[in-house]
Amino acid sequence: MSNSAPSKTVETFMYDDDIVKKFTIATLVWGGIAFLVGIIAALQLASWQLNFGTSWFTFGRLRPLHTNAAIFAFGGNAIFAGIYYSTQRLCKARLFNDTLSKIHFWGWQLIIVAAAVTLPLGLTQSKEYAELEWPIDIAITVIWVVFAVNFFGTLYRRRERHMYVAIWFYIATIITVAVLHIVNSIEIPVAWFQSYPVYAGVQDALVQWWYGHNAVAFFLTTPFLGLMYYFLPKAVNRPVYSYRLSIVHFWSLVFIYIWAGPHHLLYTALPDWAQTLGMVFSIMLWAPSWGGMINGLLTLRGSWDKVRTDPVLKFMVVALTFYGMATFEGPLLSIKSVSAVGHYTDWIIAHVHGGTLGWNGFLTFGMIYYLIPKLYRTELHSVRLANVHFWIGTVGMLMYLLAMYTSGFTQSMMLRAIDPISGKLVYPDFVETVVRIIPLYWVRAIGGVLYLIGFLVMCWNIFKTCRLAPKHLEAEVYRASKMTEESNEPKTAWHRRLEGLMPTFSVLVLVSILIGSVIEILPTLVAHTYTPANSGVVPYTALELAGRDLYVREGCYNCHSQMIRTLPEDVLRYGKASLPEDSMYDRPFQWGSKRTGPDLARIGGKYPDLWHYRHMLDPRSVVQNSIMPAYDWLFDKKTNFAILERKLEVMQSLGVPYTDEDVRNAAHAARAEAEIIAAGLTGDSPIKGLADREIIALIAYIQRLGKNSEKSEGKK
Amino acid sequence: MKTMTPTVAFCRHCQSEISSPAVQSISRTGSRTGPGVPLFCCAGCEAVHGILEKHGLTSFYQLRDANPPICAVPMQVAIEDMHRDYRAYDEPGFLKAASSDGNRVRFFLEGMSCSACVWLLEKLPDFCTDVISARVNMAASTIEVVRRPGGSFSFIATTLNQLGYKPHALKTDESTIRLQTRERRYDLIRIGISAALTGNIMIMAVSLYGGATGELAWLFQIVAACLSVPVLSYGAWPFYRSALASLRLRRLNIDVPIALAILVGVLTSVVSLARGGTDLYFDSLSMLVFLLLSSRFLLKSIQDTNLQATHLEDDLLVGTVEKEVRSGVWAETSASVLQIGDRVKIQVGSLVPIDGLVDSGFAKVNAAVLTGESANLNVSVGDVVEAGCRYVSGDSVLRVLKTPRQTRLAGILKETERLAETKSKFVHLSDLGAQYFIAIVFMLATGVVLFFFKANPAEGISRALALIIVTCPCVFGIAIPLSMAMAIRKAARRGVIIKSADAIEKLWSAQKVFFDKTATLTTGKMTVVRSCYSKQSDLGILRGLEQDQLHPIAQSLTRYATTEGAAAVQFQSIEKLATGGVSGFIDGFTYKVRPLPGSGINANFGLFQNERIIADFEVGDEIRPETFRVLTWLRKAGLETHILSGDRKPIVDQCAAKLGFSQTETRAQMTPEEKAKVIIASGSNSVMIGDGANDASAFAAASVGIAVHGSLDVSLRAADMYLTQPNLESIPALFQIARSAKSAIYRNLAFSASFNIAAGALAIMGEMTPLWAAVLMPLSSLTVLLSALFSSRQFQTLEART
Amino acid sequence: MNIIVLLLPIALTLAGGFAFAFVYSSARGQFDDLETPAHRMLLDSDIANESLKGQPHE
Repeated sequence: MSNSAPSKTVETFMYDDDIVKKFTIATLVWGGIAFLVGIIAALQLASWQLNFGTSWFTFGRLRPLHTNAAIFAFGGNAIFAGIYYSTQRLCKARLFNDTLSKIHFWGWQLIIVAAAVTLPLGLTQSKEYAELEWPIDIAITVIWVVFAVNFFGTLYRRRERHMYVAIWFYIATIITVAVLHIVNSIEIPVAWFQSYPVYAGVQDALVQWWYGHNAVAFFLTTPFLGLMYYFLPKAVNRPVYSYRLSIVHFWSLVFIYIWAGPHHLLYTALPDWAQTLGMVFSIMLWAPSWGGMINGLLTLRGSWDKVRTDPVLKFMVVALTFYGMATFEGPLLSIKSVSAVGHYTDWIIAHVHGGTLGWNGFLTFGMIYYLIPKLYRTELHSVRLANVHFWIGTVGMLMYLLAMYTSGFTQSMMLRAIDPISGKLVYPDFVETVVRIIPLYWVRAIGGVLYLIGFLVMCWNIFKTCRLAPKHLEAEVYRASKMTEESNEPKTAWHRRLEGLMPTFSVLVLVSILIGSVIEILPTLVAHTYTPANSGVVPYTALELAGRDLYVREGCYNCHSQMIRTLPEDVLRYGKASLPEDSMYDRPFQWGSKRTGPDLARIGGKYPDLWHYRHMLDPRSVVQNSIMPAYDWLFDKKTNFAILERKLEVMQSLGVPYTDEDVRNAAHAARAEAEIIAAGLTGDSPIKGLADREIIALIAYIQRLGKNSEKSEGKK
Repeated sequence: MKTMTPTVAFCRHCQSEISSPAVQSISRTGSRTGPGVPLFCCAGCEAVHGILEKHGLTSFYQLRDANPPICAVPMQVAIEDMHRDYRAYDEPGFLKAASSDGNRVRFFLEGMSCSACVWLLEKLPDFCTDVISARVNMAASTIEVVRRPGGSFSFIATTLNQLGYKPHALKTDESTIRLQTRERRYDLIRIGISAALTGNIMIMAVSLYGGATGELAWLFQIVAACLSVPVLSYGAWPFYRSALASLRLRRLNIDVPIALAILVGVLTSVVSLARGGTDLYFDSLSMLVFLLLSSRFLLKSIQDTNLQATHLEDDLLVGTVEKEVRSGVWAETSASVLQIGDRVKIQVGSLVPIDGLVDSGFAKVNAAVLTGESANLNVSVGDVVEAGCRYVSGDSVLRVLKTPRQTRLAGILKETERLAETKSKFVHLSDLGAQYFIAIVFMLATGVVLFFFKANPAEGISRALALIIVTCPCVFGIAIPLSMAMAIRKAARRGVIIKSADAIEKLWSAQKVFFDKTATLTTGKMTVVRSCYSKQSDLGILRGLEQDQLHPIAQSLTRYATTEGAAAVQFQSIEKLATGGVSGFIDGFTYKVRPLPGSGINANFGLFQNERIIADFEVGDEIRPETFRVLTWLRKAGLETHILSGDRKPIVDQCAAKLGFSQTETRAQMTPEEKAKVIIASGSNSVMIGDGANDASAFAAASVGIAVHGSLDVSLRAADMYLTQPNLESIPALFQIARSAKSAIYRNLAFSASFNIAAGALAIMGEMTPLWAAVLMPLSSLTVLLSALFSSRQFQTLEART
Repeated sequence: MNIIVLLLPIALTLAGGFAFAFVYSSARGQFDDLETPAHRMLLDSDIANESLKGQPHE
C-alpha cells in the first residue's frame, strides 16, 4: 500500500479567513458601540438631565440607534463571521467569490454608518427594528442579495455532498429575512430621507409585527442556532446529541415560525381571530425552540467537566440556557391573560434582553473565543480573563433582568390596581408609577455597565491574542476529494419516474396555492369596502400631518403608546378602547410597544394648548417629577410648510381622501391654522413669529389624537 | 514459582485493561522496554497499530482519546481474524451479486463505533490506492467503497480487515437496497408535504376556531380546502392502496377504516362547504394523515437500520480452491465451478467446500461445523472429508465426490432457511386483533346509519363518521409494532442484532433455555488452565517451538507464553513428530513438546529437554467469567436451563457441575440433528443459545435461536438473534427488553380497549361530533405512541440497575 | 383586515418554497443517513502543505 499518490479527484484549496477576521473585528467594534448607546439610553431613563437637551442625543432618537446597532451591527456582523467560517468548513470549499465577500463586508459597514448618522438626526420610519429610511432599506436589500449569491455559490461548489443542519438554518435565514425585509419596506418616498409606508393603521401594525417577530426569529434565532450546531460540537469535540432531532426541529421551526407575528398585538384593535391565531402559533413554537436547546445541552453529555475549565463552553451553555428561558417566556407572554399584564411594561424589555444579552450575546462571545485562536493559529492570551468576562457579564445580565422584571411587575400591578369598592383606579396619576421604578432603572443601568465592562475585558483579551499571534505564517492549503455523484445515481427507470414525479408534484402544489390566492384576490375587490370608507373619519389636516411627522422624528413612540386596550384599567385611565378606525390613516402606525410615559391615544383636548406648550419646554414645570426630556429645539426650528403639499399628494395617492384643493394649498391652510393656535399662546410666550415654530404643529397633532370619531360627527 | 504482580496497563490500540504484562511491540530500533514503547493486549492490536503507524495515521488515537471515550465497544482484534482470505471477492460472480455498477460495493463492518472510525475509514482512498471514494453510514455500520477501475476488492477487504473492521460484502442485487432507499425517500417526501400543508391548514382552522367570520371565514375555508387536496390525495395514497389490496384479498387490515374515514370525511366536508355549512374536517383529516404517516415511518426506519446485517453474502460456499487443470499444474478457481472427479489441493487453515476422497497427504481436520465435536480428526489417504471441515494441520489432495451444492452442509443450511421461513408465518398478534376490531366497528356503524336512516339521515351519517374516526385501531397499527421496534433498537444498542419482531414476542413467553457448551458457555478457545515451569526461558523455548504451528493447542500455548512476556527462542530446525507434538534443536539440547498421557479431562503437555521433563502445561476450554452470573439471573427469573453439547461426556459433565446444571439437564455427544429433536420434544417455548456455525438446525428447532459471536453470516441465517459482543452479558438484558415490551403492549391494549369503548359509546349516542372525534383520535394514537416509547425509557432505568 | 390578502399568499409561497426544498433535498438523499454527518463535521479536511503537517490545526 504505497503512500497516497493524490489521485485526480483530490483537489487542494484554501479557506478565505480574512473576511472572517474582518467581520469578527467589526462585531467587536460595533458591539461596544451598541452596548454603550444602550447604557446611555438606560441612564437617560434613570435621570432625564443626561439628555442634555440636545436633539440628536435625546432618548427618543438613541433608543432606535441602540436596537439597530445591537441587532444589525453587532448581531449581523457576528452571524456573517460565523456563517462564512462554518460554511467553508462544512462545504470543504472556499467562498464563492472574494470580491463579493468584500462588497458584502464594506457595504454592510457603510449601512451601519448611515444608520448611525440618520437615526440621531431623526430620519426614521418609526417601525421598530426597521426604522432606517428608504435609501438605506434599498442598500440593505442589495447587500443581502450579494450575501445570498456568495453563500449559495459556495454551496454550489461544495465538496461534501451532505449539507449539515447548520447550513439549512443559514438558508432559512437568508431567504426569509429577504422576504420579510422587502414586504415590510414597501414605502413611497416623500423626500430624500422620508417616506410613508403603503399600509396604514391596523394593517401596518400587523405587517410590522409580522416582520418584527420574524426579524427576531430569522435574524436572531435561526442563524444563531446554525452557529450553535457548528461551534458547540467543534468546541466540545463531540457529535451533536441527536442529528435526527435537529433536522425535525429545523423543519417544524421553518413551517410554523412565520405565523407568530400577531402575539405582539394582543387586546389591541387587531381582530379577535388574529389574536387567537398569534397566541396558538406562538405556544406551538415552544416545542421546536426547546428541541434546539435540549439538543445543544445534551451534546455535552459525558464532558460536562470541560465546562468548568473551558470559557467557550461556559458561554455556550449559558447562552443555550437563556435561549430556553426566552423561548419559554415568549409563548407564555403570548397567552392573552399574561400579555394583559406584561404588554407595554418592562417585563417585555426583560424578555427581549434575556434573549439578546443571554442567547445572542453569550453565544457570540463563545464563538469569538473559539474563532480568534483558530484564525490567528495561536492560543487565547489569557483564559483567566475570559472567565472574568464570563462572571462579570453574567452578574451584569442578572442585575439587568431582575431589575426589569421587578419594575415591570411593579408598574403593571400599580397601573392595574382598581379599588373594588369605588371602582376607581388606585393610582390615577401615571407619574406615581414612574417615580416608584426609577431606582430599578439605576440598577438596570449598572447591570448594563457590568456587561459592557465584561465585553471590554474580552476586547482587551482578543487584542492581546491577535498581537502576540505568530505573524506571516504559511497559509494552510487543504485537500478534499471532489463530491462524488450520489451513490445510486444511475438513471434507472425508477429514477426517471421520481424525476417525473418532481414536476408533477410541484405543479400540484403551485396549482393549490394559485387557487388559494386567485380566490383570495376576488374577495379583495369586494372586501375593499370592508373597512367602511365612509366612516366619516376626517384625515389629518396639513398642520396636523406636519406635527405627526415631528412625533415620528422625535421617536415619541419609544415611550408613549397610542393604543387603548380593551381592558378595564386602560379604559378607566385613558378612555374608550381604540378602534381600527382611529388609526385608519396613520402612515406609519404609532401604536407603540412601551409605556414609559402614559398612553396618548385620546390625549387630544384633555389639556389646553398652553399646558402642552409649557410641558414640551420643561416637563418638570407641569408634571412635578416627570422623567421626560425637554424639547426646547422645537421652539427654535421652523416647520417646513413647503413640503406639506408633496406629503398630502403622496397620502392622497395612498388612498387618504384629500381633495385636490386640500393638496394644492396645504401650506397656506397649515399656516392659517398655526396662526390661530399661536394667537392663543402669544400672551405667555416671548417668541416672536411663534406660528411657524415646530411646537405649534406638534400641539396641533397632539390635540387631534383620539378626536377622529368626534371630528367626523361634527363634520356630518 | 515466581508470582507476577499484575501491572494494570491499557492496550494502546483497544484501550482494554491488560492484567498480565503485555505484548511489547518490538519497535524498529529493537529496544523493547522503556516507558515510550506502547503495550498491547494481543498480537492483533499490535498489528493494527503497526499498520496505522506505517501510514502516519496515528492521529486516529488523538482523535479518539481527545475526550471521554466515545468508543464504548473495545476494538479487540482476534488473532485468527487477521488472516481471513478475501480472494473470493475478485470473482466475477461476486461482483455481479454484490455491486450495482461493478465498481461500487457496500460492506457491513463489525467494530465501527465512533468519529475516529469514520475519520480512519473515510481516509481509505489516501492509503489504499485501489479506492477512489469511501463513504461511511454509521447507523447501518456499513461503508460504500468505489474502487479505481482495475482495483481489486479482495485487496480492499483485506485492508479493512487489517484495520480491525471485519468486512462482510452486502448482497446488493439491483432491487433490495435500492428499493429500500427509494421507498424511504418517498415516505419522507409524503410526510414533509403533509406536515407543511397541515401546518398551514391549521392557520386557517385556528382563525376559524378563533372566531373569524364573514368573507374572511369563507376565504379561509376555501384555502384550507385547497391546501388539503394534496395531503388527502398524495399523502394518504399509501392508505388507499393498502386498503384496496386488503379488500381485494377479502381481508380487513387496519388501513381500511382509515381510508374509509378519510373518504367519508372529505365527502361530508365538500358537501357542507358547497352548502356554506361550517363543520369542515379538512384540518383534522390532514392531521390524521400526517400523524399516521410519521408514526409508520418511525416504525420502519428503526426496523430497517437494525436488520442491515441480515443480507450477507454467505462466505461458506463461495470460496476459491486450487484445482489440477492438467497433471501437475494447479490453477485457482471458484469452488462453485468444481465438477465430480476433479483433483483439488486443500491448504492448511482453509475450509473444505466439497465432499472429497483423500488422494494423498496426511492432515488433521476439525469437523466442529458438522459434528459439534471440538477435537480434531486425523485424515489420511482413502478417508472421506466432508464439506465444512477446516484443515487444522497438514494438507492433502482430494478427489471431488460431491459438488458444493450437493454436500450435506448445503443441505443443512437450506433446511434451516426453510424452517426459519415457516416460523415467520406466525400470524402477528396485531393483525389478528385488528381483524375482529374492524369487523365490530363496521357492524356498529352500519347499524347506526340504518337506525337513523328514516328519521334523520344527516345525524346518522355524522354519528357513524364520528364512530369510524374516533375508534382507531391505532394500538394494533402503531403501538405493538412500535414497542417491538423500540425493543429491537434497545437490543441493538446492547450489541444484539435481532432479525424480526416475532422473536421478541416469543422471547417473553420462553420457559426453557438450552445452551451449547463449546464457544457459548466456554470461550471456545483452548487456553492454558494450569502451568508449572522453573525459568522464564522455558516459556521462550515453548513459544519458539509452537508459534509456527497452526494447531489450536499450539496457538494457545504460544498465546500463553507471549502474554507471560517471554521472547521466542529462534530454533535452527523444527520437525513435527508423527505421534503429535514438535521438537527443535538448539545449542546442544533437543527440546520436545509432547502430549502427556493423562486421564484428566483437559489435555496435558510436557516440555522435554533431552527427554527430561522440565515443565508441564494443562490446556482446557475455559468457562466464560460471566456465565455463572448470567445463569443465576436466568434461574432466578424462573427459566429452566439445559446444556446440549457435542463434546465428550467427561468434559461436559465437569463443566455442568461447575455451573450448577443438574444431571437431567445435561446431555453430551449430541449431533446437531439430535439436539434439534430434543428441543422440539421439549415443547413450544424454548430458547437455544449456541455457537452460530454448528447449531444451525438446533436454532431452527427452537422457538428463539440466539447465536453467540460465531461466524455472522451463517448464524444469522438460522438464528433469530446474534450477539455481536463475544460474551453472555447481554442475555439477561435481552429478556428484560422482551418483558418490558410485553408490559407496554398489554398497557396499551388495556388503554386502547377502554378508550375505544368509551369513545365509541359517546359517538353512537351522538354526544361526540366528528370534529371532536377527529381531535380525540390523533390524541389517542399519540398517547399510545408515547406510552410505547415510555416503556423503553422505563427499561433504561431497569438496565442501569442490573 | 384585507392585509391578510397580502400576508397569506406570501406566507404560503414561503412555506411552499421550503416544502419544495424539502422534497428536492430528500429526493437527492440528504436525509438517508442521519447519524454520520454529526460525526463527519467534527473531522477537518487534512492539510496538504508539508511544512504544517505536524502542527495542530483546527
